[in-house]
Amino acid sequence: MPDPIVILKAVVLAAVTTSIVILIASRLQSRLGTRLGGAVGTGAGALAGAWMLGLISRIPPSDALERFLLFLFPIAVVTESITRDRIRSILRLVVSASVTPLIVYKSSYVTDLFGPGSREWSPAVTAAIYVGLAIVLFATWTAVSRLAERSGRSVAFAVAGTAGGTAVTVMLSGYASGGQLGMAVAAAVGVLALLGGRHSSPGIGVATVGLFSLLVVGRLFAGLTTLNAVLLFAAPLFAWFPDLLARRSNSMRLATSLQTGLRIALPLAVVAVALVLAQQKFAADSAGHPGEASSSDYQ
Amino acid sequence: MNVRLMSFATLITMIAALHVRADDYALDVTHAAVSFQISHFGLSMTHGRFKDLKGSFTIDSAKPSASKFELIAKADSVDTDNAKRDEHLKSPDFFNTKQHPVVSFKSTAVKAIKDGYEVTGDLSLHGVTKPITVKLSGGKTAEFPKGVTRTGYTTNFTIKRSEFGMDKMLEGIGDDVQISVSFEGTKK
Repeated sequence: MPDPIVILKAVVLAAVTTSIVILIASRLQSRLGTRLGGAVGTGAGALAGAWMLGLISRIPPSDALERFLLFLFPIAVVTESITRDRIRSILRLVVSASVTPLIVYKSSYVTDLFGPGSREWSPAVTAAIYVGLAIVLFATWTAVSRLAERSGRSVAFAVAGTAGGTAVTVMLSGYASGGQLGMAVAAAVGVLALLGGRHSSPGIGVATVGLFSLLVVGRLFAGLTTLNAVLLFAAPLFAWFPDLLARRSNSMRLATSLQTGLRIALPLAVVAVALVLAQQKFAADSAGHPGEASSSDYQ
Repeated sequence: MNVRLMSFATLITMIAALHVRADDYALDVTHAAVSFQISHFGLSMTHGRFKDLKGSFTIDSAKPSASKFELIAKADSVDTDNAKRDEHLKSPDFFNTKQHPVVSFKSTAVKAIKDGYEVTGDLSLHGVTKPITVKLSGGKTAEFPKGVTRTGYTTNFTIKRSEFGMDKMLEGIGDDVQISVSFEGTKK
């Protein structure tokens, strides 16, 4: 059962680590310093929190989330640290294309683990899923990072809230230990929201990759529903709504404070929907036979 | 000369008659069960079983060391009579069934003991393979239905799940897992 004390320690460690890195990087008054502070700060904070939670405990890694945290997450951090936009875009594409194959590596989805022909996805379906999820991650990563360059603090709040909601939803979906990674990510991005400004975009980019991976692992290896995975990953994109509204019509230009509020509130509303659905499913699945075990018995 | 030849032929025939071939059995999944129980916060034992089993075994009465046992359970078939708990058990927190879909045991050494066999073999669980030794008791035979010879064995043993890499939530869910295996096989 998730230990709230350990989670609290992980959150504090993530936040402190991110803060220290950002403060050090701030001394580099350069674009590199900005990107390093956000990317390395968020990445280091999330990894420190993951370590405290026992999510990185074995080398070689033993499960999908460990594989992602040890191999691809650091590459996502390096990607967001790159100052040249074109190179960064290419690396984003490479990382986006690599996440899902790494997560399902040697799993029953793509390997005959239970005898010849037992793999769950045919090669054609596998390729389609790899390409589809790569496009989804790349597009969302780019879109959220771009918005964060304009409105770093509010988008950071939205992503931090999404990460926290993802943590609880994945835990309710049957992956109690892995879901806690979302708390570490939320803490790291929360620091970005509080410290604000120029470090947000690279850090949010790193967090987006982390959230995507957690959602894919939750969907494929635990009981996270496809609907909840889509809602949670799409949630930060709703922060674009006020800006898109303003672009469509000058008369629809909203007050700055209202724009900021909507950038935070809309994603969190979507997260709330996912949480409600997850709680309902948890209660229904825990009910067992009528008149017998309930969710409290399971816990 | 003829007497000697006759005696030799008789001896050969007697030896041939005495030699008992090993019997191969297919697991009768309707009469096979792999169940476990594990501590929940030290308060009670939670029970579960695997519903999807397959296997086979060979019994060589004349040469017990040539006997073999193999049992395979689909990890995804774990059933503790609670859908939410089963979902959790299948996740990376416990069995991680998408990564390690099979729990299996394959014997490597068999020794005859009173009322059964002492079987040493490789238990593969959660991607980790470790040798264990269990005592099988049983071996009675019966004919059911008519024309089908069957035999069966039972064993109980305990493992530590952390030794097989299942080390999450040890503070609430016990490390010791008591396993009970009982099975029948029909002679091929």
